[in-house]
Amino acid sequence: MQEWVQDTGLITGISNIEIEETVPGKYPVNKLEITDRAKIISVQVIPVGAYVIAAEGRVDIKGYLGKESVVFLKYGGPVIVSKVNREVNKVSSLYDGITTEGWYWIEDKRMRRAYLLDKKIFLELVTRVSDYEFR
Amino acid sequence: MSSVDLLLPIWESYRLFKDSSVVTKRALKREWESPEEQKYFFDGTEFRSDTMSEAAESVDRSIQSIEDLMILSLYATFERYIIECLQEKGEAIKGKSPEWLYVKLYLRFENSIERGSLDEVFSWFKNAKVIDDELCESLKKTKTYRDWIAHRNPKRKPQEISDPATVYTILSTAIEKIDSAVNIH
Repeated sequence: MQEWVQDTGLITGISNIEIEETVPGKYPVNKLEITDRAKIISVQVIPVGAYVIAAEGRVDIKGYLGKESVVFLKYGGPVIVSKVNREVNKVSSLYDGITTEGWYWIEDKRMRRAYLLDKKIFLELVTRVSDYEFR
Repeated sequence: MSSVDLLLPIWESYRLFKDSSVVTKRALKREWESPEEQKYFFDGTEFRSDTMSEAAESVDRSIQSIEDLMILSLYATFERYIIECLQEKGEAIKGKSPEWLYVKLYLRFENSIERGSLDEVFSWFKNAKVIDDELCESLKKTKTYRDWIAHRNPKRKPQEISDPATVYTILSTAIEKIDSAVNIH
């Protein structure tokens, strides 16, 4: 993520924070902070935890306007097998668009649509939470 | 109306609230042309005597509360759907003879569905392959998380956390699967 903002003119910094989950308890993680030179925007990328329902982890991207979450999904996502009308098992996933194991953004306007996190999506999320426009 | 649509009004209200909070935050950050214009904009609202940062903080706090309320509301609607769906199926025993016996049997069944554990019902659907292990587990974990939000019992802190979008996805997927499996004619 730090590399994705390198050529945008924004400044990044990493700091250590501690998060707490029920199972592992407290543990240290890295928090990424993104600001501009005038310090008008401040976006924080904060790990939330590894124990989240229907995913293997969650990271929140927080800015003045709100937050967006990205989740770690295994290949195929959480798989759901259903037997409808006693027909052959149909295999579908909870989310559409899972092509590989990785971090995904689930767009909440079109539920179940997952986008693999890349530079373009990440910068779009930064804009969503901060109104910062990349040129 | 499809049963999946039951959750839609709650989900859309949540999305609208989130969008409204973005508009409010933009208004709070805006450079107003005059103090009068700003006063007019925020007059008669909860933000009236707040500083801009206090107002932004109260919006953030509201979002957290609304997220919890959305999860409670989504789950309550889902729970009602399951109960009514099973009670409707159970009505098949009504009208059988002798009536005095089947009426009592139905009342006992209705009461047991109303007060029984949903975890057990999820397992029925899993065993019938209506939903798979993964979705069954997600439903049980979502219920545990919902109970945590409702009661904040420190002895029953959930291992896994969730959010409104995930809860909506899990519950709407489950309704879709259950609906197509139980409504066989």
